[in-house]
Amino acid sequence: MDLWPGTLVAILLPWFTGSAWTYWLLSRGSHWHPAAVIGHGYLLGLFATTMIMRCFQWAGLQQSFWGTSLCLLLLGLLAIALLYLNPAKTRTKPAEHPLMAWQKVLITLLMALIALRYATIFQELLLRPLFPWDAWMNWAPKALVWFHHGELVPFRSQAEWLASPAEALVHIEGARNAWKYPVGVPLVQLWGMLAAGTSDHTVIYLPWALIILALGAALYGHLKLMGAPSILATTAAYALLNMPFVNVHSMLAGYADLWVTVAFGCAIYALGAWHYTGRWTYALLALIHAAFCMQLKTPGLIIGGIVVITLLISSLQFRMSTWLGLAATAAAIGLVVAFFGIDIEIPSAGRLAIDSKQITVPYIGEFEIAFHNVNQAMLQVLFKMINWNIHWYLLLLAAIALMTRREMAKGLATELVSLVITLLFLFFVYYFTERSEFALDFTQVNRALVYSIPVSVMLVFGLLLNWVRGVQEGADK
Amino acid sequence: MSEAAVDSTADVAETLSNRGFVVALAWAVIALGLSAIIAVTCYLLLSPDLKRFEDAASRGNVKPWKLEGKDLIPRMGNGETTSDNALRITELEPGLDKRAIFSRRARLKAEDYPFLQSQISDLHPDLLVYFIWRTERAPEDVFYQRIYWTGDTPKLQMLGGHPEWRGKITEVGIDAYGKLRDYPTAVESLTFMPNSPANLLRSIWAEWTAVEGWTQKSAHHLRGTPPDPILPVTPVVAAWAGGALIILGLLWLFNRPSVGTSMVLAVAIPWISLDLIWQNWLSTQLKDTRHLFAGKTMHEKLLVDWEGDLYQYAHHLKTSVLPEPGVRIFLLEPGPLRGYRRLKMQYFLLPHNIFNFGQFPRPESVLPGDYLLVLGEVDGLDFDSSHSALTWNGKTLPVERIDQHTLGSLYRYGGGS
Repeated sequence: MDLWPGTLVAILLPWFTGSAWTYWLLSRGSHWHPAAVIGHGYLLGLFATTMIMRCFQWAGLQQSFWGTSLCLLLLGLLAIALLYLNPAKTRTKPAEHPLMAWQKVLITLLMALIALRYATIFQELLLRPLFPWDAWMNWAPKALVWFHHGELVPFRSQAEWLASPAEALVHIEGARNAWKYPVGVPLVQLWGMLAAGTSDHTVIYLPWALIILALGAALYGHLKLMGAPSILATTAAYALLNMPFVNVHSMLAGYADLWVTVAFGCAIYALGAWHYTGRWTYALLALIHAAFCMQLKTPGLIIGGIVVITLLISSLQFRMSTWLGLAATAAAIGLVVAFFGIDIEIPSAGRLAIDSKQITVPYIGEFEIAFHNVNQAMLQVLFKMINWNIHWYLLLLAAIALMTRREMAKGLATELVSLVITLLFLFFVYYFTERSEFALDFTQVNRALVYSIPVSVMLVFGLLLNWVRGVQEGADK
Repeated sequence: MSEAAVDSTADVAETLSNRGFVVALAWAVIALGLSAIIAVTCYLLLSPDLKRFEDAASRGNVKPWKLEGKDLIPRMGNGETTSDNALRITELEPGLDKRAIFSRRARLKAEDYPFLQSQISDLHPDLLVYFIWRTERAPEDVFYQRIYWTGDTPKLQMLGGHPEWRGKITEVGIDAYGKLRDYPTAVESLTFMPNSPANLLRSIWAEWTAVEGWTQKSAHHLRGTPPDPILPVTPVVAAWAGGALIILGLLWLFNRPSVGTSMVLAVAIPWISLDLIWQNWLSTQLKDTRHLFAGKTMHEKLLVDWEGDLYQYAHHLKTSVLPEPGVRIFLLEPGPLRGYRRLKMQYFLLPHNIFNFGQFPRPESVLPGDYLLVLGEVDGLDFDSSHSALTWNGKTLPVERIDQHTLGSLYRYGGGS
């Protein structure tokens, strides 16, 4: 396939298929938004693409652009056919006043800032060869090798590689454990390579910028679903889309962190929509995104798990006292486990061992438990560096506001719970395991914090929306 | 879970009239203006740096002292004087780091000139430029401070914060290393500036607008300023917004105007300001990226990119030496396990099947038909041409040397021991 036509198909076809299925799913109810459909659609479409490619592998077929495209097209047409047979419900649109002149000016300004940013991003991405270290060390090699061989040849450990003859085509990467990293991201790259007809072009990395735009669309759509005015939803999308650390992972494409960020963000947005609309289709969408999240990066297993935990917590409508009791029980169990320790072998997974000095989790790894003071490093990355603009200051302000006015959290329980769990998880990893070194030298901590950004942006603007409503209700009285 | 109606309450923002918005914006701008004035005034009044520089200066009314580029004498490398008295760096001396050093003798008291204004045109991320100096106190030592890339306009930086910028300065100059480009960098002037609040503020602004260029740390963290800045930009912007919020909050307490929208704007304007600083960074970087890569094929891009020499070597091996991918290749290199160059070489050799661990061959694992690529020089690993074998630590492995290059050698194991 030629470079640009193929690349356009590689972008638009999954987007079409994913959006068609998202539309079918969400339009079973009357509460959905086109921007959310488009946002979720791209992620869903790429997930479907990677699954089709895996099916080709399982069926013993060569990886094929045309074969995968045909499957995607048929899948998309199936969704269209289902929509024809069972049309979408009419969308409930919240009452919205016509935009005032000042709103039009502000929205135009914000869109212009986003457009300027992404014009810069796309140029940088297309001009510069693959640049960041982990991108060409860990993620691109699998795609490059698979593209050459036309199949997903195995990547194995050092011992297995050394014991395998050349014709077995067992490969290995340069970092010790990279061979066992999940393959979602290399499959996205491989799809781009198959479409472009080459493994050696920057167009393959266009999804790294497009996926963030899709996330921005999802954020916008979900805020509109919550009844936010266009100006507020646009401002939230601008805050997310123009955040420096988010931008740099689009421009210096090739890492997997952005994908985990988007999958987690979209999953939580969907769960939030389930919470306030009651539509099970949103919960299903969230679980699908969680499944993709787990296939993107090793931490994605935990982050996807947080989606599932959040779903469970959201579905159990306990009183606060019950939750506190459960939390206390869980803490007590945790202490007992830490004191006595558990060490079990889970079939097909591996060893699970927890005690006060060590945690071993299948697929994740082994960690020694000890306190590491990374306060200075954390304060630097959150509040001193330019990574997040002044977002974390806003979040701090929001947290203070929430402590004094709990009613501001109305309708935001999902976002709040998932954010708290995610931050607690990150806090534990960097304060209590040897991963602290990656906080102290800043190589990893921001790439973990970025997972929480879509949810925390949603939370800040959701709280702002509630505050505005509160002011309005006060003014009306 | 029952289906809840989506809240359709018309919000404050949508009922705010155009006039109401303009008033809110005016309040926000006033609050931000007051916040900025208060913050800057307090900072300048309380700045330990300004006080220290003032106390340390040997005299009052110090005038700036300017050194033009033509006044700098080449010590390493080469340069030429331009018609407007600038020094254009034309040659870097080869060595471990390709560098050029230009300097001249000076007699100035460091404490009288805590700031340096440099005007350097056509600076770019591939050339690292440092201001260097010697002191009377430690004549054998050369001290340095980086001059960051902020475009071609004059920029200020604070020298007074450096622990070795003190006493009598006997020599000053420029140390440049890295790569020259087809438009050579020109040092137009170095001007030593006295203490003043304006110079301090200009130095802070120069740090905020300095562009380092992409590094391998960029995807890990973004400082936004050079390391150890006078004032990091993010907390300053947050303080600016915070000050405005406090002012608006006080106004609300005493006067009770509707300040909700003003408060939102008092956060949004600083946010956008910081965003524009970041945009400036990116736009400046993009100019450099365009210069390096626009109009080139991928092959040409990789030749001019980082580790272009490795790419060229890998390209030579893949196109002229190695068979089709499917063979096993052991990459041996003296560096550490996750050394940058060995990993980059592995990437450039893809889709070849590379085992990239260790410095020495593994006779117990190597199979007939395997290749061994020795990148650079591995201490203790030699090729015995008379016996056609690699030798190390008393061991040997019979191999055929397939290719020899300045960057490495390729061998093939045919079997036997």
